[in-house]
Amino acid sequence: MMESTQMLTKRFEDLREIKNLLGKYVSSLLLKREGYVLADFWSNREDVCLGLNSGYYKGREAVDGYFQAVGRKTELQGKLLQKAFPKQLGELTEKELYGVGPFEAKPLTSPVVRIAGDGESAKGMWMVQGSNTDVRACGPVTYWTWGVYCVDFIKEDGQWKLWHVLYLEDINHASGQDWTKPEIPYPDLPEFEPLKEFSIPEPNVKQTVREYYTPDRPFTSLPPLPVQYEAFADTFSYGI
Amino acid sequence: MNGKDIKKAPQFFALNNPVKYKMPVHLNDDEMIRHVWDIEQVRELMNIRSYFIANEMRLQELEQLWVQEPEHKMSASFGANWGFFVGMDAIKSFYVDAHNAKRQKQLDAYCEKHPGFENKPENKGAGCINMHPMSTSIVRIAGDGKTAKGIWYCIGQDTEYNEDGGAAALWMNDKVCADFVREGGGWKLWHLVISNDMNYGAGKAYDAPTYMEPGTDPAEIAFGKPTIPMLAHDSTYNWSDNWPPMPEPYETLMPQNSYGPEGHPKYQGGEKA
Repeated sequence: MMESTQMLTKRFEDLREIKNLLGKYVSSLLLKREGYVLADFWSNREDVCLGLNSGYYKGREAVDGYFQAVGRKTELQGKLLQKAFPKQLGELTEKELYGVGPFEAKPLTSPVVRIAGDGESAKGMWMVQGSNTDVRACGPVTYWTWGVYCVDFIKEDGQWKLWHVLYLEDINHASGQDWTKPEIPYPDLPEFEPLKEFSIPEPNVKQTVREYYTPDRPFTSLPPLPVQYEAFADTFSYGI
Repeated sequence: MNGKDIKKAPQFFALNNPVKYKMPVHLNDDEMIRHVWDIEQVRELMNIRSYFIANEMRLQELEQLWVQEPEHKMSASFGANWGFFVGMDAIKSFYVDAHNAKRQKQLDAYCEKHPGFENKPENKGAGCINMHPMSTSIVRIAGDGKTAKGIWYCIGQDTEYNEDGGAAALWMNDKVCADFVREGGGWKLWHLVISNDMNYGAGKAYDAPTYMEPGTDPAEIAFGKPTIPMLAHDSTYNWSDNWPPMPEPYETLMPQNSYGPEGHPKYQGGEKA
């Protein structure tokens, strides 16, 4: 049965909003707005979930804890860079300094999105080839990433929100180095030593969700593509 | 390389007369949303293809995403810098069978290095990873509504397991163009071109020599012997020949304006091999 004009228009608008939502999310991470993304883009539900290669941050408190820690690391990175580059950064206030140094560009490509028949949820998958800079104990270092975003979305008060976000990488490797070989680390620099002690809290559900690529890795399929479904109970979750 | 060997720059195909795309103003609301939805469906087909490639699902790709009607299957094509495979049998022979044979050799070598690892079809792809994300698309739906044309840019990578237990990773920058046709209420791939602009070892110095003599490019060797061999896209020194070109608005798809071999200016000019 051919869908009505109104139904197809609604589906197109939902699709556009969902794509824009994830685009705003990754753009916000690029702009180092990790202190705001939970409130701006995520669902208010307690069962939100952020999955990474090393496990899941399950529940609102865990997801918030992750983003807060990334924020503290960003602050520390800025301060250390300011000390290392007083001529360029010495005049900047703490607020102006925030975000100096790290850079995560994760452009979203190849979207496959399915909106539930009941219109209350959606699922999507995107492929991501990232260009990144981190500030580590060795100082600033650029690295390539190859991975996917797999996301469940939920409608709240007429707006789409992030519900379960699974970001998995196959490759996370220093730029200019062959990712089929072990990464050759850069030597630590004394100016950045405090970063050696800093760590992001581990996922509260710790498990290897995906192994990084090495030539010894067995063939590893990507997570399943979304398939059309009626209600969320009828499909699989990208969270736990 | 001495002065005598310097290659002549390829002809630039002036196939795009910039035309500001006018939205089809004669469409009513219903026709407009279906037009827009058609574009989304074509884009999504190519996105799904990216995941099929990453998941070693090439046979499923041919069965689910490519043409199935006999007339279309006969004229389907898979093109690259070095020519075209024509007909679904020839495409399958290159894209699936030859690829699977390579994967089996790689798996045999992998199993030698990892005793106890099962040498079974599901494990093909061990030590490998291929990602070809689609971005920057332009899609045109034909005026007659029966076909579509699209272009994408793909910054991809192929990491292939070697017999010595290591692997080789290549950045693969491709311009991807395709014709699509309606079948069974949906869109299907009909003519595909993967036009490689650059393939470069990950981690290789960017100022390293890159020139390869014709016939020595590993990607060309892997392409094998196409049905219609021809230098369809010359990427030496990153020259731009503007092939395949961006799709412009069109009324009806014909072989001469397709992304199949007959659409190539050299084919039309009689230069095939």
